[in-house]
Amino acid sequence: MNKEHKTTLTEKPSDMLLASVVTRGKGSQLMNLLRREGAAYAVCAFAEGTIPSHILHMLGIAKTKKELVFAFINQEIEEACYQSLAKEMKLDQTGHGVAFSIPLCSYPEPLTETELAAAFIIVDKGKGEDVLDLLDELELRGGTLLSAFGGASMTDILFNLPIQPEKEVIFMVAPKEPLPKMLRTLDEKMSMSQPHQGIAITFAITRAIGLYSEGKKGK
Amino acid sequence: MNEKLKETLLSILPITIMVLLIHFSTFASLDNVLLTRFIIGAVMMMIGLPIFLQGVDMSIERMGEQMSGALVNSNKMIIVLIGGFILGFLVNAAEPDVHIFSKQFARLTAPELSHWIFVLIMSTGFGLATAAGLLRIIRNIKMRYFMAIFFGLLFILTLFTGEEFIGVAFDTYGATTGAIATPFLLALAIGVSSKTRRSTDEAAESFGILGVGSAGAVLAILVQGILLKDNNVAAVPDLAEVSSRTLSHGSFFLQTMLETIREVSLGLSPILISYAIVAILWIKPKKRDIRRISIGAIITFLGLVIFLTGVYFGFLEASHEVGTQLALRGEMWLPLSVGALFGLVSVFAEPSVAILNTQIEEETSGSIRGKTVLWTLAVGVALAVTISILRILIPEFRIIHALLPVLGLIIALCFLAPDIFIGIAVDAGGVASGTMAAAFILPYAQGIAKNTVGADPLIDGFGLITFIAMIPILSMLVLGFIYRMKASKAEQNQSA
Repeated sequence: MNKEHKTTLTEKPSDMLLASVVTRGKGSQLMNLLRREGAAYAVCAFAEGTIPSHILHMLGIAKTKKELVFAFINQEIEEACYQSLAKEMKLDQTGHGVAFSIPLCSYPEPLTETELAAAFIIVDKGKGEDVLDLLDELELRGGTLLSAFGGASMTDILFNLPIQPEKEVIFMVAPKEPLPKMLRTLDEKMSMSQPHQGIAITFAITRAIGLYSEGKKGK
Repeated sequence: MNEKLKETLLSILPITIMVLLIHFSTFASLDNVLLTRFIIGAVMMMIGLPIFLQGVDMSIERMGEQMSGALVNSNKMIIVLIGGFILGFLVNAAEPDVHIFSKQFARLTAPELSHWIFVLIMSTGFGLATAAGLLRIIRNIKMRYFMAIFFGLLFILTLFTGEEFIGVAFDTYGATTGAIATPFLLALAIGVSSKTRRSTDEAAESFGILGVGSAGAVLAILVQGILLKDNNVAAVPDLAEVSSRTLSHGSFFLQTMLETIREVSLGLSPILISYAIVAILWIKPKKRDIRRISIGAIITFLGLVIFLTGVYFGFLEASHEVGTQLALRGEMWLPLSVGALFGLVSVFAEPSVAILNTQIEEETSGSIRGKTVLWTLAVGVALAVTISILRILIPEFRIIHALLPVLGLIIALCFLAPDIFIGIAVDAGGVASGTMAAAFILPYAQGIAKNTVGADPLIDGFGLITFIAMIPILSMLVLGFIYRMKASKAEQNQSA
């Protein structure tokens, strides 16, 4: 236990958040792998993934069980992390999961431009699938859905008691280019710029592995 | 898809291999008719189980979750309570096992009464307890006090009840929650819990609804027995025994399947109808949801019919035959150890257990692993079957000798285990005693009882489900206690 503390805290501070989505049950293996490579901190949450299959979607089987892992790493170990992700978790092959890195405020250098960005959308429970459908229309697929709680204030009162409202979070990686359009659509269809309708943010990512590309899907 | 296949194989293969091993080891060999049927049954279970679980995920759980939304959004406690009562009542009254048990009660205690009176009593108890369970979730009353009171009442009432009646009454605990009621009520309770959450660490409140409901049904039956006063078993009628062996495979298969279709339709209909009414009036679901729920309901129906037909067609008589042959060999260790192993592997194949385990993992975000729960339940059921077989083999060993200590321990552990485990434990008791217990373990035990001197298949048969329901509660609570010890140790290490 003590040894672990030394390796993580005395190193350089983390400047990157590595996010990864894998099949349910693989999260622990992934966290152990990242910790071994020197990640400062790793957490795992249950999430639901979307299947890019129209037949299953028609049947209503549109979700698979996933795990979402967040880990703090720094630039020095990034390369090693990605290599072992490709080797041990087979993320370099399609269908085994995705991973990408988000630069944190402490990130030292100017961002290297990639074609990709990540989006983070928070809406009330039940609206998550509406968002996914909207994204689907924009040819943005592969979002991950998380259940969450909370909000700006505990405004909802049920049975005379204040409660934490249920939320859904959609998390996805996409090409940079259609993202402004996505935000516009979300505003038009779900009036997100109004208060209490949800939040959508996009941010740059520096590296990604395991994404579905349109070419691979053959469409 | 690969994962699903693996999961299915891991749940059905152990029980299949176990029976085949016993067959080939010639401790109890099945004849060709039974063996063929057994293998066909096992294959059908492997096909039916994943289909059923997929359907439950798409429809039953979604209906429960949406109904919980409709109840909570009314923002009126009285509506939640009445809604909880009606849903609990209907779901219980539609449970096939409830009817089977009610008919047996009627025959045993008051042959002049219709079995519907007992269905009514049980369902009223179940419905009232379900409403109380929802009230508990919303008001955030600690599970430990709630369950300690329920089990305390059960303990006291047991002392005043005639012995033969105890087993019958406690068997209700297992009969009330079947493969359709389990996911529906769980989703309903989890929905209500997560919609009325004040802090994010309230996952502990989600579980327990099945156990509370079942305990309510047992209480109702016990109270009824005491009110009737003359609660001793009046006359023991002969079990009508129809051997299917004379029937050809085809006609027996058809007969079994028709029976299952009737059973599953009965179980599904109250949920579908009450959902349809609530959906039209209040929920107004989206088109996408309607499509998904309807397709899901069809998938659920098909999967469960295939699964149950497999169980009834292949497993019921095979396990009866194994029990008979093992008893005839006259060595005590054989039926005992085979019974324990059967108990262990039957838990893996139980659909309700799979559903509960997924929900536990989801709600605790994986901090309580489904596998841990599965093994704890399996060990609990193995122990339960062992005790029950002992009871058959040793006439002096009576039901209260084991039941009272078990109840006492459950009450004591309610104060020692963490809250979330108490909810999980009482739910687990209901789901562990499901289809596999009734259609695989029970016939095995009856096979032994019929061929043991001094044992009465009917009297000793009752009480088996009792232990399959009660001892897993105990083993889950013990697991919770161990968790707590470990957690406090880890805390000590950290602060040191």
